[in-house]
Amino acid sequence: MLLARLKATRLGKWLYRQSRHPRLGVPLRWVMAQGIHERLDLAHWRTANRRHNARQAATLAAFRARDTGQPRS
Amino acid sequence: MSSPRRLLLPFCDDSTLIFAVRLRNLLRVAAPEADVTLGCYMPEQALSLRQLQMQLPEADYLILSDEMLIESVQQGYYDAVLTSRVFRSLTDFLRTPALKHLRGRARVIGFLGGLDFFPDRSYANRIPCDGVFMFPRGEVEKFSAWATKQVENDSNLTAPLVDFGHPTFLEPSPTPPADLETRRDIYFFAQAISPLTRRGRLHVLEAMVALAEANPDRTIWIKLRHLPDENTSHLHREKHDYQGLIEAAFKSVPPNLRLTACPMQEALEQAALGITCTSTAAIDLIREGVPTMVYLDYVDAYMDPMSAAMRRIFEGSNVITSLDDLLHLRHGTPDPDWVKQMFCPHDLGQRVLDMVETLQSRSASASSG
Repeated sequence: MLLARLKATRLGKWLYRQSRHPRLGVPLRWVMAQGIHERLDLAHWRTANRRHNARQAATLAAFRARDTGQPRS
Repeated sequence: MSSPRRLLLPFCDDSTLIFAVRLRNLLRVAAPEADVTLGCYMPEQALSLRQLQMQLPEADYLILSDEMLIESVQQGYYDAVLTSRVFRSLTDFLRTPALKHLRGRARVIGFLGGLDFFPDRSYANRIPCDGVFMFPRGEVEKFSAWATKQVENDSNLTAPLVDFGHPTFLEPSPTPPADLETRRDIYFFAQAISPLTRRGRLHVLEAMVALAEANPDRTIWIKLRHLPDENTSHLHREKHDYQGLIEAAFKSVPPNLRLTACPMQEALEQAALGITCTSTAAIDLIREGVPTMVYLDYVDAYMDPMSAAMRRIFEGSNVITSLDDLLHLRHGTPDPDWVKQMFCPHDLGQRVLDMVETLQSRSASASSG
């Protein structure tokens, strides 16, 4: 995956080192905590994967809406 | 058998500790006179005080440094070392011809760590051992054939003895727990690295919130493998812990959705239904006769190699559950043929002792010849 490939590069290793810095690492650690880097993977753009995620979200929304008639946040 | 067996069971984290405690229980039943010692392997120690107190209230274990572990094997302080993780120092020892061949050393028997998501890696880690316990049943033959091939190409290897089983994977009781009908609680058994992504874990949390809202008369427990400050040096380090995600992403959750880090046995005794994604807890649940759901279609599952691996292992089990069935609490019954393949007979402790005996007598006859 993209992240695994990045981790193996010099840039990836440099970013990892920076993320441990007490001050400079704060924004990097925030990005990691939010999972933003996880969303950069090309796998998310594949049609089958997008459909899969949409189907799960729709199933969940339909279940939560079954009593009220409206999807809940 | 002339004298009581002396057996060392090393552990270093929660999964290896649970393995060691369970195997010790089986060995004590099979041979009450055996001297079974648990050893905390310090170079990879990742347990908190709470975890140690919970699993080993009597604190009856010894401390093992790298040197002590190797000395114990080399000097034959024990007849066998039984381990679910073949530590690097043990591998190096067993890959050294002069040490592997040494008379009187302890024999090393390797077990799988749990559900085997990546068999190639497990095979390679365990081939230096003197004996290996594999599962499911079909893996015994597969591993034996693979080991024979390796031995043909490497004169420093010998094919390990192979048998079937794992102390967590004991055949389920034919009858469900007597109080199952009266139980109400639903447990979701979390796993540290699966779902892998934050979005995937939030999706699972949303499903649990939905279950809690739809079932106000039940408590939905998220059974944490460990507390957020635990397992920080564990092999499988949790990046997005559920407690943190709830605090960060949910304004409020229903009061009947709760988190717990209680002992596994307690959860198994309370659960009316157990849900997991890729945790070995699915095996514990089936073994204890608790209705089980394995949910693998979570958001971003395609990013998670463990989802595909879990699907392969549980193929034909009849417990893989869609989200719709999960939300409506529709669970399947484990397929008997699949159960037979995955779970071993309860005589595992005796078979382990038999393997130790065979390895010891083989070593004795080699040295006398």
